[in-house]
Amino acid sequence: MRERVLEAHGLRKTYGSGATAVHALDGVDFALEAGEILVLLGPSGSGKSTLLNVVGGLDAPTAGTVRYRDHDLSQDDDEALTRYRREHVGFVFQFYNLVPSLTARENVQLVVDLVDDAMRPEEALGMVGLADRLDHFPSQLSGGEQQRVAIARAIAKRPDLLLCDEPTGALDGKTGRLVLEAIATVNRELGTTTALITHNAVIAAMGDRVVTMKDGGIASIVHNPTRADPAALDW
Amino acid sequence: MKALRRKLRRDLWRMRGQVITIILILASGLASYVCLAGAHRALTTSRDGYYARHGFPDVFVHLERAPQAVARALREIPGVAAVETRLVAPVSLRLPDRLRPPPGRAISVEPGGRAGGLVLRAGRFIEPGRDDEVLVLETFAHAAGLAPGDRLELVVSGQELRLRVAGLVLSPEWIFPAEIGAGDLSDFGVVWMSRDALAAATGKHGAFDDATFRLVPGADRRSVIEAIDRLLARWGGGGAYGRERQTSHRTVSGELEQLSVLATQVPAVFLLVAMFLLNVVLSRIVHLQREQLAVLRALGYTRRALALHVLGFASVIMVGGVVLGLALGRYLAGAIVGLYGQFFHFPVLEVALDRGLVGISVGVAVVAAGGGALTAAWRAIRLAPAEAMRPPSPARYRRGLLSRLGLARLAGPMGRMIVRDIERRPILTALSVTGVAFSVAIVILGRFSLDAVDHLMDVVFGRTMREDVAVMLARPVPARELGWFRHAPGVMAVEPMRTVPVRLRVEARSYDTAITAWPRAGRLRQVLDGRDRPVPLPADGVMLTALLGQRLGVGPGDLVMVERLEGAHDTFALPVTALVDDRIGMNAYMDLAALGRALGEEPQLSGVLLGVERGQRDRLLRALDRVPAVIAVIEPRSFREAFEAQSGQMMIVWTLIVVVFGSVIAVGVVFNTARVALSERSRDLATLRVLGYSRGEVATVLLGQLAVQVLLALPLGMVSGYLLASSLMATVDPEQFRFPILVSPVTYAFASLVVLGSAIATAIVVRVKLDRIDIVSALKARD
Ligand SMILES: Nc1ncnc2c1ncn2[C@@H]1O[C@H](COP(=O)(O)OP(=O)(O)O)[C@@H](O)[C@H]1O
Ligand SMILES: [Mg+2]
Repeated sequence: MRERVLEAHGLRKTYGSGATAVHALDGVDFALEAGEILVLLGPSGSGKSTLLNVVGGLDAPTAGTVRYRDHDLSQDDDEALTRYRREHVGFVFQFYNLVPSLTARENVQLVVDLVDDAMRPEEALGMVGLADRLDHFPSQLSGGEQQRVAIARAIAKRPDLLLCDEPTGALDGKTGRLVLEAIATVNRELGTTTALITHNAVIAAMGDRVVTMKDGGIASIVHNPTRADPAALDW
Repeated sequence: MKALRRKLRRDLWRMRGQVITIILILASGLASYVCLAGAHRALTTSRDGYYARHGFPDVFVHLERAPQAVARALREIPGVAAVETRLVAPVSLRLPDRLRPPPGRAISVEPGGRAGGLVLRAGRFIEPGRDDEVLVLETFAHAAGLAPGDRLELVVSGQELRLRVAGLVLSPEWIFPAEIGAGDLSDFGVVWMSRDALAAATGKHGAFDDATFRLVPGADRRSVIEAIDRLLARWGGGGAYGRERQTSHRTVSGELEQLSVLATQVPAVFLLVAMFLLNVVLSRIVHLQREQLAVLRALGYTRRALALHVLGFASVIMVGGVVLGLALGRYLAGAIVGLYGQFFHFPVLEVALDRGLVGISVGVAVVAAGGGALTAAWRAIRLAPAEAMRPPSPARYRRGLLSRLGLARLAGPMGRMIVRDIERRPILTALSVTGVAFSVAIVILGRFSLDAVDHLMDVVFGRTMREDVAVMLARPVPARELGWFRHAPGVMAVEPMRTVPVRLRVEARSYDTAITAWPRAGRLRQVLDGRDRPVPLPADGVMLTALLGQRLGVGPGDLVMVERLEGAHDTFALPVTALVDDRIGMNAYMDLAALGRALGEEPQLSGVLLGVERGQRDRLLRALDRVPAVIAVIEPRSFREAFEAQSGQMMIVWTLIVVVFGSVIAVGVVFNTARVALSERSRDLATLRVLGYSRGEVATVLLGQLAVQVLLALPLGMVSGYLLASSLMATVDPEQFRFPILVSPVTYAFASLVVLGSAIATAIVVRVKLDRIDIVSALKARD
């Protein structure tokens, strides 16, 4: 069994209180293993994003513990969580969230400025196949290109964890595949532990493990004997 | 429509910070208008009513003496409706607790006091035959602690008179009771006494030495004045003049003119800023809510309903601004008029919010709010439902001039975000910068006059009049009389001085003033030029105030005809040997000996300048008190101190008002632009947080942009403050005052500090809001 980079136990996240309380996470045990691609499946509202945000240090759980290696995140204040994100985590979101006033290169530069042994922006953008789009502003890029810039931005600092929340949710199949390929390339070449949310079961084939969530809990965990090449996926 | 109204209420509540700051700016604008225009109206109405009811004259003249029969000839001058002749004499008032007897005027009055437009305030008028009674100007009486029934000693033409106060009065000729500037009210007294008593004291039985005229409507004032001067030339006429040169009228009118300039400038600034902010905020709301609005359209709401919805937002601000502005303006108008009431004395002085004032305020508020809301409402109307529902696409940016200059590269990605955001919205940025600049300008406008006056005070009472005590004599005496002063107690230095009232004439141009003379070698007086450097008196000829030279059309080397407005009224020519740009009045300076030569007489003196040993002042003043020839004793230093004590209070009040007004604008602009920027950029900022930037680092993007705007605004504000100040200064009569520096560095610094302080305080509030942004939900937000 591979090393567990991250471990969470008894995670609860409750929004609101009393009769209107929503349990987004209802006692979840969860782990990420070094170098794997983990796919999170599940219907909308099942708690996937909440889990990923907690794991990535964007959100604090109501109860439970999250350990990154030997570091207990659940005790961290905002400053420590910021440092954790800065040093270890790369995020990719459904709507890219690029800074519109910065070019592709500059968006990546944002991250490069923060850490010591980052890639050069050109290198990171090259990995996602955008070496020829360095000086374009987000408004001059297609959705798929924007998402690949977001991936380049996330991986430029060689993060330990790459967390992607429905990275293909806003893209058509062909473009989506390019994005998934970029993610697979990063995982393969840098060995980045990757968690990827999707509600598209076809995509699950590219993961080492597939975790299915339901109503704030984990319904099943499936090990794929072999990972599919994203280029071969069809939806 | 109920749902829409509820939405409006919630929007207003959610944006209460912005709503309140805009209401405050609008209210400040209206308040400043109501207060300044209200004070202007109150003063104008009081003055004009007072003049009309109590017959304020149109033309004035003072002369040596003329037999009473001349009055009939004056009355027959075409255009003259009424003439009033009287005796007016300089007087020195002996008050028990005052070492330095205040100077003043004694004016003759007919029994019953009808003449002179006197208003009885306490006691009664002088009864026929009561030569031992006196009426006292109410304001002086109050300051000096005099009441009807009190005894009052005064010296007229060297004679001591013991009188009893019959009543206290006000007069339209003495709304502003002083000869020079505003000193202490107890420093200048005006009394009225029976003609017989004053004639006895001055030896002018059956004669008059002063006259006032009312003209028939439409009369040609110029020709009346010329006729009067021709008629009185034989009798030592001192030159007739109109209201514009009557001290009290001139001072009150000057103040009114400044008020009216302020009453347009200040409110205009506020209203423009309010309009701009309303525009920014409402446009942002419409942008943020375009989906909601599109859905409402899809649900079947009409364009009109949506436009009204947007305008509803503006009208709440408008109503709030009007109510608050009128109330605040009414209060401030009362306060300002009360302040004026300390200097200007009217029988009645009341502020009334008349319908015109309220109407204009409401109209202006409607224009400001409506103008601010118009583009937003227009956008709401034109919203295409389908377009608004489309998913967001990133805002368009490009490399602007600043980026191309390489400025952005220096600053790194965060700096680039700042620079590009400014570049993308040049107009919005320019308007916010202008808004903040206005607040700098408002503070400068409110404070600069204090600097100017302070500087003037220093020049006149500190550096021009360097004597400790100036003694004015009732009539010129031979120079040898100086010996007495040299041996008076405590006197260390004595210098003679002479003033001669004259009419200067060059061809058809003429100007009435006085020649002031002292010895060239003297050290107690010095004339300063426009750069405050001392200018020596010429050995020969006359040195004129540059503006006076200009009015007469003469310069060095030219001749000017001088007619003495006293004694024999002889005329002689004098060479102009220098012009000087001094600060106050229209002056003619000469060396004392040169003046004696020009007049063809032994040097005479009408005043004495004294340098006094420390600690000996009281002894000297007591000694001077026993000299009948002394008509006034002036201490420049104590005059200045009294003035400063009084203006100090004014200054605190003014500064406070200005700081509040300036901060209201600065806070309003900074807060609203920050809130809009925050709402536009919360997703970007949350993204930076996700990437691992700390709260502080993220804040620099937003606050850095504000800082750039504020820093750009400071110099712009200084320039516009200077321009506003100059346009206000343009209303000051240059024949009276010529202010050197318009705005001092201290005022520039003060204005900058007020605005920086407001901006920083606002930045702290914004920073707190920034820290509270929930990263996760901000990421989900769509722009
Ligand atoms: N800020 C929030 N406030 C209240 N409820 C929330 C909030 N964020 C998420 N939820 C609720 O938590 C549950 C899980 O949400 P989420 O993790 O986003 O689901 P998923 O990503 O699987 O679609 C949902 O029922 C959602 O409505
Ligand atoms: Mg989700």
